[in-house]
Amino acid sequence: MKITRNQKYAALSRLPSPIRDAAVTLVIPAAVTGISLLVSRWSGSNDNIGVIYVLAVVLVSRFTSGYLWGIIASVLGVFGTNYFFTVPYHTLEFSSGYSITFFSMLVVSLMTSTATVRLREHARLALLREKRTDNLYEFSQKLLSAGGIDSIVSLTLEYLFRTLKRSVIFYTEDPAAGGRGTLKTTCDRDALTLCSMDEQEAAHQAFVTGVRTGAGTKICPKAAACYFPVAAHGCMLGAVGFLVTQDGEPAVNILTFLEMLISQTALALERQRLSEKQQAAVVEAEKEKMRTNLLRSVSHDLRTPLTSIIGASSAILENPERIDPQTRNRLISDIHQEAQWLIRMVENLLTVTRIHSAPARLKKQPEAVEEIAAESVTRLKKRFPGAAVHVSVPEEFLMVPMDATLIEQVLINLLENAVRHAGATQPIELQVGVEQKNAVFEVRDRGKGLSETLLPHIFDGYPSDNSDSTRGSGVGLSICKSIVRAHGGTITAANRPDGGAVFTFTLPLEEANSHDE
Amino acid sequence: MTNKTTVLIVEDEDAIAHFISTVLTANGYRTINATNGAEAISLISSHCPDLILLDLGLPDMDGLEVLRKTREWSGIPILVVSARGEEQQKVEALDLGADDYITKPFGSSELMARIRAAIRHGIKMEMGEDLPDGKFTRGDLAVDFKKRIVTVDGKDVHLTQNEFKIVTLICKHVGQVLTYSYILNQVWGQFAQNDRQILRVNMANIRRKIEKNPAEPKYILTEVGVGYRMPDED
Repeated sequence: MKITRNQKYAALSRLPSPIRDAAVTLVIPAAVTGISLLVSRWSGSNDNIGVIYVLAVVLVSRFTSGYLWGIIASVLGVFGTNYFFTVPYHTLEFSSGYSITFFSMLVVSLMTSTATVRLREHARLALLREKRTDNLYEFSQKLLSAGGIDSIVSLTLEYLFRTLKRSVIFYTEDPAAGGRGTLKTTCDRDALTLCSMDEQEAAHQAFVTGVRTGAGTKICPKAAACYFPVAAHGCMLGAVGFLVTQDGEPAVNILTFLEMLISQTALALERQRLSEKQQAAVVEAEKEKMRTNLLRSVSHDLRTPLTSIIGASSAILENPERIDPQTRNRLISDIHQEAQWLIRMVENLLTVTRIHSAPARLKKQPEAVEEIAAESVTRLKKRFPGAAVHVSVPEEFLMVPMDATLIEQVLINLLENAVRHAGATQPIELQVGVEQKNAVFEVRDRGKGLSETLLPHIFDGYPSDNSDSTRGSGVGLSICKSIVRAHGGTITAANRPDGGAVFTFTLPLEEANSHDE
Repeated sequence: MTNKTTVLIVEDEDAIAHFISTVLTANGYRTINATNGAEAISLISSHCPDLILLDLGLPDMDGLEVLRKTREWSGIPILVVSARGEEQQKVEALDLGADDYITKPFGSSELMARIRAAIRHGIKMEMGEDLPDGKFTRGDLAVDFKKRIVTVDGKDVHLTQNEFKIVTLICKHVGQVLTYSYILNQVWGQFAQNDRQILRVNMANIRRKIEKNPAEPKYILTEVGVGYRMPDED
């Protein structure tokens, strides 16, 4: 069934040059007639003439396409035999015997024609199929190496366009859900047609029903284009449409080829989506791991001060008479300090969530560096009234785009670490300067310095030793890093050659970094 | 029985309200508590407190709404209590007529200093009294409003017209924070609203003239994201 329909389409669509066939149909019988005349003259007998004409019919059928020329050749053969080689010569004289000759020649010609036509058709189809297979193979090869949905889409469009020579469109998402199609068109007018509401509805139907829709089908037949669903394993991955022009629908074999192309695309798309999903899962797992780590180190850090607060407060509550005022005051001041530590921790954590939830929404404004430095030191001194900090800022007025509260937090974290952990007697130095296109902030102390083992991981948020003396500093520094990086700057830690530690961070002076909207 | 200053504490967290009222009572104030906005509004009109401590996060309405309603008819000093990181809200509250703000968590001494400053400011407003004999001194800094002279350590400081205006404005509101937009409005007029840069540059120049180290200011402190404040006597 399929083959015969194919042949019909092929015969209709191919229409080979009839002039050539006519020439063949005339020349071969003429040549045969000439040869026959020679043979008959030479041998004096006309016995073989019929056979020679049958040969002519076979040759004509072989070298022309269709049945018509073979039949004409048969007729010519009958006339030729009759005219040239039977008595009376050079006249047409039909007696009863000729109908048999004519009939057998006709049958021979028809059978030969059928055979040759079928043979040639087979050969043509085989060639076509081979070409298509090559095409398909090439297509799937290219799909394999295509990275990303976009390149799969453009590759598919390219091959569809090459096959159909019509405007094509590819939806990776349902147009009803806001998906936009990718186009490859022969002219701009087609682009407009393919993007119209009717077309989108037809494409949407292809998504919903999972069958062919649009022109030439029962669903949305008014659409100008015909839509194929792109599906793999029952999962809709997209829809492909091509414009059905005045020429009508493409041939069935082309449609079959299209279906094959599309199924290749569907597989490629599915593979792509799966790999993307997998990648997202890996990223998510990584994030989850970070979150868990942070949570663990924070929980550890929170437990210690809480234990001390609960212990001290219960000691006061439960022994109101037995504790002398001095001891009580010391317990209360312990509670006070631990609570203050807790609130700073919580402030830091809030900052982290703020940065991590929307890094693009830093509220950056030009701020006067000296004001930020001054406020940081003021706030530090509120907590540590005894802390000595030496601040120096550039003589000229310096404005740096930043989120003021966050940078303040960085400075306070760094200063506080210096106060708490350095154990230095000399004042801490906070210096701000300009280097090329960056503002450079330095917090230096003359303390015991940073341990070499800790140095490479100091900003990672997980202090390598879990001793309580370093509690909070790990989380604090990782927050500093997040803040500075969100501003497009860098942060480093080092030991000073003559003793003590130095933390340096930079902020770009110009609003050129990508993090700001 | 003396006539004690009455403070209305608007705060929905019991522990915090308790802590504040303990501190205030210990310092000789009388306290009333309100736990939500509606109660606060009715208590303000029935008791006419001398000062309101207003938490902005209330269960039934925005604290700013209480502020707005109160300011429609009364100039009672209002001290806003808010959390760190809510700078925008603070600025809004100040621009709506709050006298000052205090950031959670705060200690009792800080709270008392703010309350004293706000009440003093309220009295000053009522009496229409400006600074005595037109002079202001703080440490080494002296401002003579009549002669328009500013001296530091006895030495004259040359300030421009606008710089002088800023300094006097801040001196007149000692202990109170002044928002950027308030200062801009007072000094440059209402059309300079959004140009904070000009204020910052002026402030930087003022600091270079009156402070020993502009990065460690003594007289004019920055409240990042909000405005400037001259600290109350310490």
